[in-house]
Amino acid sequence: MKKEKGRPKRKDVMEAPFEIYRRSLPEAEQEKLALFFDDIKNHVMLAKGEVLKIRTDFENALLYYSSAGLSLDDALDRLSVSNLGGFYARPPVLWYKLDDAAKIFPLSMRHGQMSVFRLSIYLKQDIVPEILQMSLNFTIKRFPSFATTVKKGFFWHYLDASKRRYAVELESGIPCRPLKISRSASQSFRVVYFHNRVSIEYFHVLTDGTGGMIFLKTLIAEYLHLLGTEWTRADGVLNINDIPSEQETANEFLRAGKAEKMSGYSYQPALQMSGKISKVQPCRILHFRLDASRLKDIARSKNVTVTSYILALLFVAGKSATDEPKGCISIQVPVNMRKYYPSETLRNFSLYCGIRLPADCISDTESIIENISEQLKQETSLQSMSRMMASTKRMNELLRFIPLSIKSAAARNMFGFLGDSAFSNTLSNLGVVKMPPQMAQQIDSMDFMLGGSCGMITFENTTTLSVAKRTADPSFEEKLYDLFAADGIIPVMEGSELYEC
Amino acid sequence: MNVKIIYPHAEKKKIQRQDVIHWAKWPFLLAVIACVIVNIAAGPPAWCLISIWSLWMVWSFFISPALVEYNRISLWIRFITSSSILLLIIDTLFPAGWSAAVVPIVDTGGLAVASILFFTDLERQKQNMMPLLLLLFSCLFLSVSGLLGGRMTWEIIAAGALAAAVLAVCIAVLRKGLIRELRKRFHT
Repeated sequence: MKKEKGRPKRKDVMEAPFEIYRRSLPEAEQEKLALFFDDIKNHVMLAKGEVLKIRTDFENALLYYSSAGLSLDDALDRLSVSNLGGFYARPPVLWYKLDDAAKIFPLSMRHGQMSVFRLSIYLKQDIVPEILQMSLNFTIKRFPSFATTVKKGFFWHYLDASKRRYAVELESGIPCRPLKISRSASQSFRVVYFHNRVSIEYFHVLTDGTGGMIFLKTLIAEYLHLLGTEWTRADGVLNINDIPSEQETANEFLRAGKAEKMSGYSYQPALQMSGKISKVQPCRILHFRLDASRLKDIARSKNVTVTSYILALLFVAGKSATDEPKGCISIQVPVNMRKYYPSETLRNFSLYCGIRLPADCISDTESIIENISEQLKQETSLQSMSRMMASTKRMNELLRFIPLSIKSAAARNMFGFLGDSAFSNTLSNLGVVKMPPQMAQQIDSMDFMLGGSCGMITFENTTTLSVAKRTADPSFEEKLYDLFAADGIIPVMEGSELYEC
Repeated sequence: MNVKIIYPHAEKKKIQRQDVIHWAKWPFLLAVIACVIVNIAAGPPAWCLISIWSLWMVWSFFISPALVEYNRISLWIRFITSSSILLLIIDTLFPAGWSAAVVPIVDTGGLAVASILFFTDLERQKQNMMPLLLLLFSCLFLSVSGLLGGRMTWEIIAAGALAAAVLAVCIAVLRKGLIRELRKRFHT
């Protein structure tokens, strides 16, 4: 027998699973499939590699549906190519100026340090990566300001549209670690999954917690839809096939009035937790899963809001974690400006205030809670936040004609010098998240995490307080746990290993 | 307090960029200070400027590279620009007059390579047009200065001609895209 010359073709060695599946179909279905993939070609006009990736995503999803026993017709119906819209077929022409709150984030970032926050949803079933990838392929077009890459202008950074396949990844690294945004068309968010959890980590330049949550909810809604859950549109879940409105990408800081003087940016150093700051940031993640109704009852019994109550606990726990006898503990509290200025924007529209107490006044929660509640009321009042919003706008106007290279150098040094020491901690409370009932049935819990601080979110009867630790010293979380337990709330503790000792 | 682990084990990189920056910062700063002191002690010319600029180049290319827009074109053009400045400093401190010929040659070569990188991957590289435009305008400026100064050597003519040609191609190929790119880059 004559020996064949040359390298064997790849398909001779091992046939791809999709090809085996395709050939197993009756001829009529094979034709349907061929037409379907032709249609994908018409909808995806990206570079060759990207087209191949998207085609493979469709193939993987079809294979999953086949293994789940779904008929080809139903599978093709769910994966309807029209869901891709024109996003992958049109060249990228959109670009966005950064909103006034976002301008500081690219200016202040350094190697290994970036403002990243993370939102997670825990489903009752393990994640199907093939379907999650398809839901991201379909969802991204609804959020054009997220499908962007950070670029440098002469005066400011900006977001430039980037048409590519946005990938979901199996979670493997440290949560909230910096994103690599320096390459051409780099993405400024990452979607990761692990067991039953889907998380999105955002560079803050894109959005704030509210905008990020809308994206995550819409992604999960599409994911569940692809898995066969029907739900009625409500509660901040967007229709992926709607045309994005201009209001969704608006810089709402432009609504601010004229600032008479700069306010809200005074700098006073705050006490920091003792212990060696870990080289790996955050060095550990901890979630305190709390009974939401019990938490509410306790806060109500003390005549304060849940945020004030948690702040009081953080002050006491913070004091137990520092050896400094004198000075002030200051906790930064981000404030959602949509409360005062209703808005549909998905960009950043939040500011912050600081709650400050002398360390020697902090002994127990009862003695400080009233003071905290009062400060919180004052600092987050409409007048106070409007003044800060006007100041933010004014500051950006003053800096607008200074070249970026000068602003960058100044901001990096200022932020390095002031940013870490102005606050002892941060508590960002995203509040109660509602989902359409059909979706809520499939969701177990949620969490919200800020790099190096505390984030809080409530879904159904579970409030999750997430602590992203900066030092390995466990005294802060142990004290916090004891304080909750003393008030009759036994937290269910979940988290990560210590990433660095 | 029992913590249920719900995150995967994360492998930590052995060497992190920030560690390299942290450890390299002090030797670099010491080298700069040492060069200045020795130069002051030894007297003119101010050769420490050459050392400082070279150290800056090593720092910004290898130790602490750009966090935004670290792509082939911007990296290459930053390299060409920094090298040209280094050549000008050397020729200014040790005058021999060769920089008038060498810098335009380096810039012309750099512009040629950058144009190849740009036009062979136009769809993706459109977003990285700004550094190319900056080098292009620098070459044009160099040629106009040469023309006005009465020094029209072949190197300067070549730099000007190539820059004008690349600019013309950019305008012809990109049209509105060029204006949009300029608007993005110079927005306030």
